[in-house]
Amino acid sequence: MQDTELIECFISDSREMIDEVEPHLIELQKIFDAEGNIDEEALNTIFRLFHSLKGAAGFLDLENVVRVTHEAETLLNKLRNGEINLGDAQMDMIFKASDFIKKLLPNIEEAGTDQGFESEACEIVETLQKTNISHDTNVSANKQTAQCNEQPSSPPSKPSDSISSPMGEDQPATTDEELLITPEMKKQFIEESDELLEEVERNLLDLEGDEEQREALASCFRNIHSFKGNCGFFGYSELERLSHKSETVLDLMKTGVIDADGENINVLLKIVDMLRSGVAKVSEEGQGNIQGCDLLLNLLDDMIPASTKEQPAEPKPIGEILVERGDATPEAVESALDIQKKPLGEILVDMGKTSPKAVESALCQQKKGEKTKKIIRRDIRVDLDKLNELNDLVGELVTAQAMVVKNPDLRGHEFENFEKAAHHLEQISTGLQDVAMSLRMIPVSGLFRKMMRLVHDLSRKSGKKVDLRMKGEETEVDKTVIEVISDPLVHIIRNSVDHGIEPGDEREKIGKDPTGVVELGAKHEGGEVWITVRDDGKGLDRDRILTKAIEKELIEEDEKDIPDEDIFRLIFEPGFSTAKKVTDISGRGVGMDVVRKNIDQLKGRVDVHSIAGEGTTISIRIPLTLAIIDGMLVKSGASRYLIPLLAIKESFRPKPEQITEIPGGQEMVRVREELIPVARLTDVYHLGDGNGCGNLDKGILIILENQGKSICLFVDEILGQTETVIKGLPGFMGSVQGISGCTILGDGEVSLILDVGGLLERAKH
Amino acid sequence: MEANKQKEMVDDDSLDDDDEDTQKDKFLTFRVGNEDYGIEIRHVTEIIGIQKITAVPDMPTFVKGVINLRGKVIPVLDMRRRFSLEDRDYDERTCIVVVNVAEAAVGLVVDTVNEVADIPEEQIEMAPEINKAGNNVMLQGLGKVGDEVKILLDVNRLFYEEGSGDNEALEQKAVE
Repeated sequence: MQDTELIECFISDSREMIDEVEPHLIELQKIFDAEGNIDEEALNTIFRLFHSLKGAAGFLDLENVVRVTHEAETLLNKLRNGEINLGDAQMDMIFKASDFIKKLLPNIEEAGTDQGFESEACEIVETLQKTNISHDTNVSANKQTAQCNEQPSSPPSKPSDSISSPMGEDQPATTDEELLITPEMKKQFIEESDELLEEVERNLLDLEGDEEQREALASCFRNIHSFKGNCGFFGYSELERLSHKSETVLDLMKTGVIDADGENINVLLKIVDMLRSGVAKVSEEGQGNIQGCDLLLNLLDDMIPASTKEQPAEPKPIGEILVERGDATPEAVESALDIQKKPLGEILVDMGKTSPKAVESALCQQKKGEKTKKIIRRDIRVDLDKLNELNDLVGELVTAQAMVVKNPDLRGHEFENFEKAAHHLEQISTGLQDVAMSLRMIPVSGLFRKMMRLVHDLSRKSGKKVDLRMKGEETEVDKTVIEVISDPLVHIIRNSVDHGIEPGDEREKIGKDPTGVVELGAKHEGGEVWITVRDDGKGLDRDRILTKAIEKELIEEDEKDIPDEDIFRLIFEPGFSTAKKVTDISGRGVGMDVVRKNIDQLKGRVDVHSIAGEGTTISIRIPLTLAIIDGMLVKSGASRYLIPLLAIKESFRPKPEQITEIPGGQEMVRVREELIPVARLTDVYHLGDGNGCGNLDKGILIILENQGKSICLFVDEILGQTETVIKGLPGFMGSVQGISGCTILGDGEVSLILDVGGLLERAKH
Repeated sequence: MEANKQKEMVDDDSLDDDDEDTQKDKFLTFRVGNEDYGIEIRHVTEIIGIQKITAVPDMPTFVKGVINLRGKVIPVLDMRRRFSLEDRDYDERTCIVVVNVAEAAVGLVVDTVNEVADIPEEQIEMAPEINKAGNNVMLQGLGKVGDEVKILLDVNRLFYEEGSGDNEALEQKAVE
């Protein structure tokens, strides 16, 4: 029964689910600590996630996962009805449960089963049960129904339609058909269904008698719910739909939105009959199709009051109708609308019926609801290879289009119609390129939210209270960037919490809020993405870093007038650490090196700003796209090179007075107060091009900067600025120090692209 | 132009057959310096006229650089340098033979392209045991066509550094 596709789906869904669970859990605890009550919504979301996980695991016979998730569910349930309080122990247990499942996932992926973890699972189950003060009594009834009993009423228009369908919210029902359904299973289904439907009927009849019977309604609901679950399990879609609608109706009856009167009960009884006949058909080898299913669905729909259904087309505004009828003057309507325009909260406050604070907290809750709405997008899973292929082709399209439009054959001619058409073509290819590029973009929110768990754990381990804030998390970034930047972020945040943020009492002494703040930010700026980590801790100690640097011989003793930024940048050197002791969180001097390596990989840069006593901000700047480069085209000898614009600080023609040649041949140029070494491209790359212009004052000097180091590159002339697609050097050629790739220019020729970091290295030797 | 005429010969329909049998025994022959060489036609994808080659640093001398082949950047080897001959000015007969090596395209600069010759196995002799330099690595055999002898090259061995006993070094670079 273990289809590899099913398992893969399960794995990726489970990972998503667990990633979603963690931030919700942390929020839950935060709110509980702050206000002393449980945030229903968050708890329900977590509950739902565990429940789906359990269902999916049950499907695939993953016993251990099922047991653990079941116990976690029970715990969450008890939290929900206040039977136990939300303390650290409970949070830990739930985290433990989700960690356990996370751990199992790779095994399940490989082996298709979760066997071998029984003892661990037992342990967790036991501890979970211990943290539950009262025991779960409903052992005999269907496990699903026990949970469903406490499900809150949800309006039918919520996106999560089948709340407890076994495969979770994203799984299509079609995968059920791939499952081999044995005759025994079918028999069981039929037997159970018969029982359930009998119960439902009985309950409905009870209801007819006494309209206040909440217990009957609840039981009814429970049974229909189980029935629906089973139908979904086996893929009997019509039965499922019908029972689902019935469930909705029963739900609304429970909360009193629909009357449980004679007429409605009759409809429901009729439905039960139809369901029975459907089940009978199943036993006759059918798919449980119900005659007139749609008709019945409509009947049920009619029972649901219009306000919970989606609104049909807008009727005329009432003000208009009144004015038309002459029952009100336009001015009266106007002034009434003015009052109406004020937000409801304001009006209430003006009337003195509520306090501004209450309005604010209500707004917060509303925003939360909106936020979750925003993040639910309509997605489709796309094979990454296809995306890459698309991007390659689009890149070539742009190049080909440039070759047509800037063709040397056209030089000197003025073709008006051609120019118009060419311009149009250029617009379309640029547009296409933008869209193709954006396909790979993902908002950083996912990444940031993962950090919540990290900060939570770090804060507990170090005993410091830290609050993680985020802004700009809807900023979109290329998928590869997210993957590569994840580790660096972890290291930076670790450092912030471990070294930056002071212990609570220290903070109080100096007048800071005892809870430290770490703020993650992301924004688009120019052609780059800026990701910042800001903490309000004690900042970097310039002197200590300087001392350590001198110790490690990274700096000469007498270079005292180094700007702060450069000193701070030293922390990225491998093995550099000023920590007095090594904790298991950090201190070895490895983390920042990883940060720099990863950022280099992305062709980005890192900047560090820090003010002693106030905090540190680490900014990571990454080019928005790795496939297109905005560069300056230069000529040196007979070759042309493209220099990434980001690396260029300035360019100028030097005067002879600015140039100094020190013994040994090295030329230096003075730019305002700085002395920068000069490198001639023709010397760096011996391409047999000759010496180009000869004297420095006959050519152009371009100041390049990389990770704080500068160099002046001497070229013959600047040919212009261009935006082109980066291509790698052909595989056979391996890699060349200082060359990051090549590109095809508008005239069809190939030009090399300089890698400033590599160039600096190379020029040194 | 010569190059185009030569291109036509290769584009001959009978050769478009992907069936290896019809391409077996057929060699594209070309001239470099004083000798005629041949490469199995099934490795040749096209022949183009000489165009501007962009130099790439840090390469062996016989790797002239890269060119743009319809949107793809491919490396180009200069066969004269490969055989340690003196450089010669490019003229209208100089061609780039594009071959397929290990799924990648590589261009070879040759003095002129001659013809597609049919050289059956019996007419091919193995390279002699006696050798002066290590150039024999590239040699696939010596083919007799009429009165002439064509030096048949193994397309996969074109990159090996001449004289170096350690061919692994260059292979490593290629793999990177």
